[in-house]
Amino acid sequence: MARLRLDFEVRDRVMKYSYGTLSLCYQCGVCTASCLISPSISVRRIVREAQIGVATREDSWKCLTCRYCDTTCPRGVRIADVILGERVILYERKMVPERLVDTLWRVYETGNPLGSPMRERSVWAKGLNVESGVDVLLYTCCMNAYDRRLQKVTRSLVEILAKAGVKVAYAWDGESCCGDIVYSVGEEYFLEELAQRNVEAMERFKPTLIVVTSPHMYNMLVNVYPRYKAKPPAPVVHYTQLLAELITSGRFKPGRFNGTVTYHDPCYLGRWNNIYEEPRTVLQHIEGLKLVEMEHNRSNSLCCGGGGGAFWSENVEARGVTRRRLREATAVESQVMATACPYCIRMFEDELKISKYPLAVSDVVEVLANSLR
Amino acid sequence: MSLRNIIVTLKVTPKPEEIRFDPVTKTIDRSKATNEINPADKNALEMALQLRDRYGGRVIVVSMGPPFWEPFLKLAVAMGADDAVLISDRALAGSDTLPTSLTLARAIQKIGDYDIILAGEESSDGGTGQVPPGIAEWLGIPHVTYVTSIDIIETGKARVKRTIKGGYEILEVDMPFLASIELGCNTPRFPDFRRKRWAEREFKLKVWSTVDLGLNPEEVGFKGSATTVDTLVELKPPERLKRIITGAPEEVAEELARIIRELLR
Amino acid sequence: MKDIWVFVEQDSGVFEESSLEVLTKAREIADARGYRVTGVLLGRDVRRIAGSLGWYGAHRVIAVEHPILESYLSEPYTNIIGGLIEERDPDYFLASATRNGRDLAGRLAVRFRTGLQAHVINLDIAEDGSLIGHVPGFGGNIVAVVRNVKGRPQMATVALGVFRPKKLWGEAEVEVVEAKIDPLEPKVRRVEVVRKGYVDLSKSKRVVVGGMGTGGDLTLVRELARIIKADVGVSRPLSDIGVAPKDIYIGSTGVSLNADLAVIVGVSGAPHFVSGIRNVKTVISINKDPEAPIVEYSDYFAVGDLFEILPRLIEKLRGEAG
Repeated sequence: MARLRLDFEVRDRVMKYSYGTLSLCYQCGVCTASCLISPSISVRRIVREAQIGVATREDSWKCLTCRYCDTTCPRGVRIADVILGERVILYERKMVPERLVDTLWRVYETGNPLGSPMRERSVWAKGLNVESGVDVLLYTCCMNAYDRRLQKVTRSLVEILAKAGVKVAYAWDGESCCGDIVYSVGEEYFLEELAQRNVEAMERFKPTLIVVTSPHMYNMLVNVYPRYKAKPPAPVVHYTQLLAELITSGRFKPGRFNGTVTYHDPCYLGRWNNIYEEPRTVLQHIEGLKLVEMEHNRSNSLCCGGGGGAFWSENVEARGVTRRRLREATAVESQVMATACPYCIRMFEDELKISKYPLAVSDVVEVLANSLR
Repeated sequence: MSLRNIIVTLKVTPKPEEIRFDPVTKTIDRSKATNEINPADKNALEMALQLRDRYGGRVIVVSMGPPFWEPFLKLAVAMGADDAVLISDRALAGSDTLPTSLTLARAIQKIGDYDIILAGEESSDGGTGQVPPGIAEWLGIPHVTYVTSIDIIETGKARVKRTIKGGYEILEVDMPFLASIELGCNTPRFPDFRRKRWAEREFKLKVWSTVDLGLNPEEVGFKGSATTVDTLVELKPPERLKRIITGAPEEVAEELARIIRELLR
Repeated sequence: MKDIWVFVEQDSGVFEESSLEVLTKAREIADARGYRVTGVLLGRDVRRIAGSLGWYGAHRVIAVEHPILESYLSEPYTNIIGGLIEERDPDYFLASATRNGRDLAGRLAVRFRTGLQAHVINLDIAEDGSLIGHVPGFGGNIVAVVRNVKGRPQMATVALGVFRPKKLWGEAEVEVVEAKIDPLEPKVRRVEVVRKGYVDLSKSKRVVVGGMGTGGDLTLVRELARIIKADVGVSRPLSDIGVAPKDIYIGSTGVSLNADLAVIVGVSGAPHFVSGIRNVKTVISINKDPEAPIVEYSDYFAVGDLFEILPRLIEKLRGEAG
């Protein structure tokens, strides 16, 4: 048996990242049992080893950070935070999957994890006949800015907001990656610079509201940036929250859609940030739309398989997770699965190209836009 | 056995897909392209850092280029390089690979105490791959190209893996030697941003001119070059038919089969 | 009369095909001016095969034999050829831009303080005797017309697959030269050679390429390739995830195809990929996404599910071959 070196400094550091909850774990194993990518990792073992100061398990990279285990833990251990804390240490020890290091380089060199040219970040907005606003800042996720399929979502969003009388400042100079992938990889010093630079870029607009297009971005700005001495200059909302508000206050009237839709809760919107109802509110106000819930919804929703860096490290094992969710969607006989995260959409649509489930994936905004036709 | 200096030559290049060509003036516009450390040089630097991690020594980066390359050299320091030298001089403008390899060789000699010199296999802009063997020739040391790994087997001797058609060969080389490193053979480490901050504020880059290297004006620049560029031509991708075929799979397959049969005739 | 020397690379008695391409091109240039083409051949037992280089264009061949020269090794090759150049002073020296060719040429050019043009895609000699080459750069979108202005011999390495070798002439006169191995104790010594099966896609006339749209399952791609007697290639992501080896991925950092026909299946068409198909005569693409970037680079673009279209296409073509 290999000798384990116990390192209490490691334990103390991971303890801090876990907000002190690391010591609560009593090894019951419910986390491993409920883990969506089990048995490819043993969550219980990762947490146990962190408790005794061993952080060398590269399995931590496979974690999707979906927080499903967090919600089932009877003791309230913040397991995803334990894993992210471990990753900081693994990063320092240079034990990081190569693809993730490549992704960091791309964020550094081009301002986005795709590696697309910096000056093409605003190309998605070309031809958009909408006047740019001033105090409501639309912070567009790199995926929404560069990915051709997702650009449709971004354009629809800007148009709908304009129709609702909300002029957003979009595709603005200085917009750059929020750093979610950097955070997922455990790199902290570049992240600090990035966070502070992004906040400075936003401050120039003196915004009264910041609207983000991705739940990961929401999490970064609201929960992570303040830890790195970067406080967003205005309140931050996910666009579904803004849309829900516009609809319920009567400022925007959705159209009609005759069909069955199910809603997939993105992990970083739902479990990470407790935003469950607003996207549903938007869908429910569409006339004729029948909203059905999948077997796992809200706080026990399944993951799309793309979180925690899995999208960038091309974690092939996570495909099983994606397929499981797609099967649930077809089980409730909905024609459309709506969601509110660019990564979820890409994960589901890429998987549908191979496994042909009879299902269409849409963003909530797209369902709303379609209802207006 | 510990290594002495491990020297890495480094070039800054524009991203090839962002270069624009002006067909009227027949010049290359690099101004809008993002600059980066030549990808293969990053692999070379990573190789050097790994050698130092394993065998000790100092990693020194050498670059021949304009002053605006300074932040990139500091980035190399942030990645872990111990020192960096920039050879910057107007007289070097217009140098082809002959004076370039000479200049780099002189700088390497001035640094001295080298056991291993590493260079990226070729640069993403010019892409000649000629400079590394050229430097070795000026220095009178052995060289190996397209290297993917290096191990020190005993004092003064290394074993390297070189890519050849359909496989690889293992060679034993006496030090000092130069190796050109294959693009993509390793994952360059992400810079340490605390070290980067230090590099930006406190690290002093050595800047040398042709005078510092004892080079005559006739040996460098346009005058020192043995080739010259007469003109530049844009190579447009071929015009494609772009015929779209749609329909049910059966119809599409039928149409494709027809086209393919025709082409195979 | 001017002399064009062409380095002919060989390995264990087998000629490197791209060296024959350069030989033929050199002969065509030479014939137009009354110059002479000399093949330079180093190897273990090469005197017997040296003469056959004449068929590809060499007027004569200098053959140097020694066991250590069995396959390319920088020191002895550079020193022997350097010695010959010093002795005989040829006007031009060409080599194919293989790894070894560029390795050799890079060192020799400095030894003789002469100009060396890199992987030219076109080559000629001007009125005043200077070598003119077309040198691609910046990922292949821009070509520089370059001229050698000083030094002898004037040197260039030639890009592979640009010229065709032609077997038109006859046996060449062979001069066998004694190998002067110096230093006797080389500083670089070969320890081991490992070779796996090798497919040179850049020489394939027909290629079927699979991309991420196949999900990593190349069964249908291979079957179609088999039916139309084509080779199989992949886009880089498939090679990255380990589905296919590195030698067969197409793109700016991989293989550049020169095929007459490429059928590209499930590839979206990112810039890195399409630079590898620019020289293909006819490009047929199949993709589910009607807005995939590869439309711009295709002659025929079929919209649809490759898993539905390919089996039917395979059935229809079965027995057709060609």
